[in-house]
Amino acid sequence: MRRMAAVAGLIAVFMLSLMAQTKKDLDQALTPDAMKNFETERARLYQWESFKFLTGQWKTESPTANSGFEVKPSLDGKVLIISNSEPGIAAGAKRKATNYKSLIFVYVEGLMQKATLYDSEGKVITYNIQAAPQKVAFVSTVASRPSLVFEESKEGTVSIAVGQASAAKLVPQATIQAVRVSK
Amino acid sequence: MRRNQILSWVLMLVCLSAMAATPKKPSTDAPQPMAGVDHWKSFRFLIGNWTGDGTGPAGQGIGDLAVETDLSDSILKMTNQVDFTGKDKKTTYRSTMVVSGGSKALFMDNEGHVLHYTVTLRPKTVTFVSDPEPNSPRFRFTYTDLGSNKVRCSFDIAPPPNLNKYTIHVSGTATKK
Repeated sequence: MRRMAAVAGLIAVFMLSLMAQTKKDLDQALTPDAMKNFETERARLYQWESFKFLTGQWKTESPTANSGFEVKPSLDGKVLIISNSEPGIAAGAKRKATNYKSLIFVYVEGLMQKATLYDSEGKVITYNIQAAPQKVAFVSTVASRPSLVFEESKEGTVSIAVGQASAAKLVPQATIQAVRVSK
Repeated sequence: MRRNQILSWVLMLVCLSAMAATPKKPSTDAPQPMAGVDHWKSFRFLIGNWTGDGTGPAGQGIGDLAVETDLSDSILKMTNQVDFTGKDKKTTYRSTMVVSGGSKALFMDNEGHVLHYTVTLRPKTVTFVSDPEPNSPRFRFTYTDLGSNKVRCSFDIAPPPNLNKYTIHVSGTATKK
């Protein structure tokens, strides 16, 4: 009898903790100040400040003819799209594929900038974005999938390092240079 | 001893039910497209440019939907634009849905929504249901082939706590251009 009561008590504690967590989530979600801060932070993320150096059209220095990429806003600035024809940007892609194409959609989810890559070889890779001055890292959410770092080396030139992200650092497998064609 | 076993079973059931309620993360691995296989067969009726009208809480809307494959048939892209005329103002709603080789889709719009959908296919019907998220409504898009170049489109919302009880938010018929 005492053990039955203990079991019932345990379940009650578990259920109450779940309910408390839900209520806490709801309270946090509904606080006007929290909502205001949330919206302010999202508005800041939609400025795409860290991507400013990267917007425009780029030509990559690559064995593949006419390869390059373009970064432009879409959906009234809520999304950035990177249209790419450089196979080197997706490690594992056939390096000499002349018809290689990928699209990277960069978006804000919650209070984080994230991205999803789709390519003509059927790959889908999701990334978390980490930004530093004149540098944007696309860190793959799956450790075995390649990550990307775009970094401005000088005005109008970027290097794209492709490799495995490990302990907050990228171990590059390849680096591609690109020069700006137009803003 | 028996009571200990009962206790273990109860705890296991509680944990399993909690795990079942946890939303699944969208898969990052799409199946590779198979050569010679039309993996967009069930979507073929939807591919093309569509125009249509509909009604919803935002008012009366006239919209365009473009559905096309891209990246050497690796993805299906659905681009939607609806111009709503409400009581006080006109608004333009834009969205893009990207369907990858598997049954997953990424939805983004100009209101900042980003949603991950699971696609289900039935004869002449394609349905996108958003993955459940805590304290958020669940969304569903349904496209039904009516024949004669017409498609019925419906956008439904299931508010919490009952994420399986949908009410129609916007619906209408689209005609192929």
